[in-house]
Amino acid sequence: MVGPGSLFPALHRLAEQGWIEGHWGELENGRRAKFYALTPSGRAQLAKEKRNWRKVFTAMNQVLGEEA
Amino acid sequence: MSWVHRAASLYRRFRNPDQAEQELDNEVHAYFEILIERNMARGLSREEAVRAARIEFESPEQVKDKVRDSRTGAAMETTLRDIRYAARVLRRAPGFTAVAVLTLALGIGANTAMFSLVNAVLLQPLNIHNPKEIVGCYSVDIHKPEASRAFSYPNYADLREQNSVFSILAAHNIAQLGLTEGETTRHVFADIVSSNYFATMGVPLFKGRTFTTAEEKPNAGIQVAILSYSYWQKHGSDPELLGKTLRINGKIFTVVGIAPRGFTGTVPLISTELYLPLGTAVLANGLEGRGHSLSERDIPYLILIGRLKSGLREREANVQLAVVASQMEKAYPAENKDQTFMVHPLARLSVSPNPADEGQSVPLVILLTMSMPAVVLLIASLNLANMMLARGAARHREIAIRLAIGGGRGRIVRQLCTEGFLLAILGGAAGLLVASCGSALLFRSFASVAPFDLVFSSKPDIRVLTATMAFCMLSTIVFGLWPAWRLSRPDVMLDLKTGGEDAGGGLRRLFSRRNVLVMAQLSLSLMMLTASGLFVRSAMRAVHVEPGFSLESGVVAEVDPSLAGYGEIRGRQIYAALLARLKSVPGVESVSLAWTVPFGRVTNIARIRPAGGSPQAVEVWAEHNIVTEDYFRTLGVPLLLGRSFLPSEMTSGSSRHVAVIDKLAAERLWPKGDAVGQHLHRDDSQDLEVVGVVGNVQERIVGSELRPHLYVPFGPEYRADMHIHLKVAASGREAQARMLQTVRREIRAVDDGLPVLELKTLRDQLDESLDLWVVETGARILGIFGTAALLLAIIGLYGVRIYTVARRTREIGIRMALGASSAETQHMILREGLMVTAIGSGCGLLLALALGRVLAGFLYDVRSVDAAVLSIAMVLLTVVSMLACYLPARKAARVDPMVALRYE
Repeated sequence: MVGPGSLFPALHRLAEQGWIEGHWGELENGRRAKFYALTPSGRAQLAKEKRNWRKVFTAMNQVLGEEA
Repeated sequence: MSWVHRAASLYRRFRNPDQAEQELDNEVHAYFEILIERNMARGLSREEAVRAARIEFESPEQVKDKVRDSRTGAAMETTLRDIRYAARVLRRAPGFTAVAVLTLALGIGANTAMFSLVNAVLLQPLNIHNPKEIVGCYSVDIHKPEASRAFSYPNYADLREQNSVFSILAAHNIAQLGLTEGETTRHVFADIVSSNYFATMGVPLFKGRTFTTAEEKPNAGIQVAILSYSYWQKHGSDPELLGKTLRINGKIFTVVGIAPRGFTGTVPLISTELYLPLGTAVLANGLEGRGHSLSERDIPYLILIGRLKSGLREREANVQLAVVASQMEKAYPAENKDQTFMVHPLARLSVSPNPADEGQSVPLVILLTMSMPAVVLLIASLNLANMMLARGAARHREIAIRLAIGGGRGRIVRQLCTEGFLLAILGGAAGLLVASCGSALLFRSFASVAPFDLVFSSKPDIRVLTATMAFCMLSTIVFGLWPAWRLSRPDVMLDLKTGGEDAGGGLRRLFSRRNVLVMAQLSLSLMMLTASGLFVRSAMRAVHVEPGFSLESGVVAEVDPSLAGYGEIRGRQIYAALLARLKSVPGVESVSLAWTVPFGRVTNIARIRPAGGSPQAVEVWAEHNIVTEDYFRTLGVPLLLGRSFLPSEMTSGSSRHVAVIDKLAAERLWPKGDAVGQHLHRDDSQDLEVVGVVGNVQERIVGSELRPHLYVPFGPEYRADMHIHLKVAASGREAQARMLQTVRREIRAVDDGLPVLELKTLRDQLDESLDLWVVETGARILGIFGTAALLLAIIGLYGVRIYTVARRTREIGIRMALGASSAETQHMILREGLMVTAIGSGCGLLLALALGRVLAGFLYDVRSVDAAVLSIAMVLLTVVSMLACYLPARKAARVDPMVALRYE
């Protein structure tokens, strides 16, 4: 699990980039909490990062596969 | 486009910081509560749940800090927060802040003041269009590249007409002339300029017109003048001044223009009061009716300045100029033999026909000038470092708490440095004020002895402001960064518990950081004290100078027949009449004429070497004076060998070319001691027979070594601007004042129209000289620096001693409870203070000796090891330090053991 000390800064950075948006809502027990959701531009960014990750992942696999 | 989002969020936070904080707080706490509830749902009690959440969660404050640090503009936010915090801290300690700001104001002010002088003299661009483009053009001997000479007007005119090198080329030279204002006439400097001079400078006149080509023509004699802006301002800023007249050298000149404001020509700071056209050059130099003419090709008079055609570089220009020069040598072989022309970036600090390479020496000069005030700033910073350390120790609780709640060391260092920098900025602002007052004062004082207009603005420009900022930064690094680093050590608690470094044994305690800082301050201040002592001593010696002639009974009068419009024939008659008349005045023992006077504004240098010797033989640069027969008797210069001049050598018909030299020149030229009867060459041409050798004289105060002298008789070498020397019997202020009155009356009686430019005793001539001003001002400035340094060091020493006593109160209490007497306690504390002083002044002594070696070469009559100055400085330092050590020691001796043991 990601600790809050890393979670909150990450959330705030993402919000600043405009990739996620936070709004106050209520939990099922009635307690107020902040909910974060992806924005359209966040979705686009996520897709981009996923593609990127796949590329890196495949490349790494190829390299490691060749060695083995 | 993400930066748009980031900027927007930054903007929102800055618009409403409290709301952003509140929002963050809510969010983090909501999360925390959820964690607690989740733990309670697992069956924990509320208390246990909170504990578990805390363990998992770090602390909410820490999380918030991390969020703040990760956001855009975090650094800026933190800095702002630090500054606000630092301001609060400083406001809460007004005493400390005041002392610190004052200390820094002194240190930074001294540096800024010095730098604004350096800036004005060396760095500020001249008030002309694109000054970097201006070059000087020089006429150099092919065989002797170091010997360059001025240009004759015809050479200048040809070069201007036919060349393909310059886009514009102006010529000028400076002359000293007599300006009559009402009843009095005074010497002023004038720039004699070509018609395109102001066009070359690329600046429009403030008012009126520049000179015409007709006015430039050699010997045109059209009497028009342009005034400097400051002259116009000093004389009531008359809006109707154009068209009015001035009396210059006895002739009426019409004012046609006023130079631009702040215009100083090609040199910084100083400006001539007048500009005259080249057509009046002969008149301006008082050479009328003596066969001199600017139109002669063999009279080199002009200094050339110009701008190269665009795109032309110095090297290409020189190639083309060499061609032009060789063509001119072919056309005028007699006058232009072996002369080639070259361009060179124009010298900033002189108006001279010689190309000067001052660019390389500029950094060195800046370094030397700035080193003295830099030492003051260093002492101030060291002092403040100690204050910060002591304060930091007192603030250990705050720092320890911050470290304990997870404030990183970097953050604390940053916070403490911000505090330091805030102090430095406050000190810098106060320093700027000190500096601009200081430099304005200095310039006013300089203006009172300078024979020209000073154009100086004490308003700081961008360079001065930048430098001040740099001084602030530098001192922050010394007094802020280092203590901050020390104070934020993670083991600070341990350090404090064991009493820190004060707890060590004798030696370790003696060389604790605080003591070493004080030692450094003491040694630097001893060095400064010695330097100022040497200056003061030099100034004192200069007042009691034994120049090789009698200073006490001398009177100097300056007259100039050419300023009344008299030529050589009338001038000779007037001088002869003056000598005869003044000789018969009761109380006057002897009278003579001399071209230059001791400690005067003007020195003339001649190159002399034995006749017949090869040109490589000894050559001596001698101060060159023209005198009448009684000169040596009047001044009391002893005749050592041979004879003095004869009355027959004082008339224009005298055909024997004779000279008298001083002992120094004789020793250098004829070491065997047979100077009398020998012949010497003056400036490579004239053959003079040495008829006598006289004693050495010291006519300069700055620059300590004696210079050789060459005296020639007034007969063959008439000059209009002679001085009259009188030896008078009167002594005492009043009698001398009466004597001066009589002399003035007698001069008036010889010729009513003859202006008396100056009339004073030889002693006043020394007291009012620029030389003495330099030494005295140096003594004054260094005196201030030295006192400030001593004061700061002593405050530092006292502070550390009193602090040590406070820190060791408990130990002292225990010692006394165990039977130590108060005298022993006092000794113990005193001993350490005195050791610090001794080591500090020991190091200072070495520094002072090193500095003394440097200063001895420059100051009048000062040896590098001046026992009196050194011992006075040492005694002063020791006495004041002992006082600074004694008071805290006495306080220690009065410690009540019972109170001390309950302390802390």
